[in-house]
Amino acid sequence: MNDCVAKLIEPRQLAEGLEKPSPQQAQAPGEKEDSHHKEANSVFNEEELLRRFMGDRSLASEIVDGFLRHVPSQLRDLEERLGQGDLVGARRQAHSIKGAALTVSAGALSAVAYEVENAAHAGELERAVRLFPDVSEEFEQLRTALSASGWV
Amino acid sequence: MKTLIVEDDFTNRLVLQRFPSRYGECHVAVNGKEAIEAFRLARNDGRGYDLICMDILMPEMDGHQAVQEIRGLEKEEGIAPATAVRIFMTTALSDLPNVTKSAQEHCDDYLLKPIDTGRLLHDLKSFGLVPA
Repeated sequence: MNDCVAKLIEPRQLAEGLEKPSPQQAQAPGEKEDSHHKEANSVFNEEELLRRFMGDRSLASEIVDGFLRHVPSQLRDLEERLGQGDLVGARRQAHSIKGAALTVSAGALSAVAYEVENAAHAGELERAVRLFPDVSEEFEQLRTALSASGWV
Repeated sequence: MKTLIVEDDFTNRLVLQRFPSRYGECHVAVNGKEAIEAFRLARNDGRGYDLICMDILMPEMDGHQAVQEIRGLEKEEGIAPATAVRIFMTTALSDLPNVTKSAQEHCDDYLLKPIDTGRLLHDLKSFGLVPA
């Protein structure tokens, strides 16, 4: 709480506070931008995933496995909601897929899910529907990448 | 430590449950309404939660409303802030209004997704919830 309150006083500090790495993830200056760049664009960022799971490959692998088993049902739900014109439900499901993708360091999937989330939030059903195939496609790309790198 | 994870996303639940479940009972709710119900039941059983990890954007009832109701219930019971349940917001929303609101709701911590397990463990220790 104290940390939180302190952050509220100074928005710039707040932003820094939120991004403050844990002692385990401290990194040299200059690396940060690069790793953000990679996160935002890569299909799968193994390095970032392992860093967030404290180098515990077996734990990370368990999460990746759960993710792969569960996301197909989320994609079906998203498609259905878009088909029904349910923008509120579609926004929430796209948000959920985005968050799950970030959790397994799947930057590209997360980015397209975020676009659907934004389109749904803005009430742009047509754009959200048009973007949906990209989400499915990125998920397939991710599955291929995970398979190729021995994660599944 | 007794924990309640309030999270609608399956993958994030897997991550968040991982550490608290090593240190005691760990329950799951998938939206704010379920969270309030779980909170009430635990208090009625005389074994309230030590920690609640709360997502913000969820179906049925969002995290802010759930936290406000939980803090309200604590106030009704006359629970002092020092012994109130620790609430960690666990969310992908990093905008100032959401952080400000969480602080006003007396949340103890604000962890951004994707969850860094090192940071989570660090914060559990610094709040004395798990042994350092």
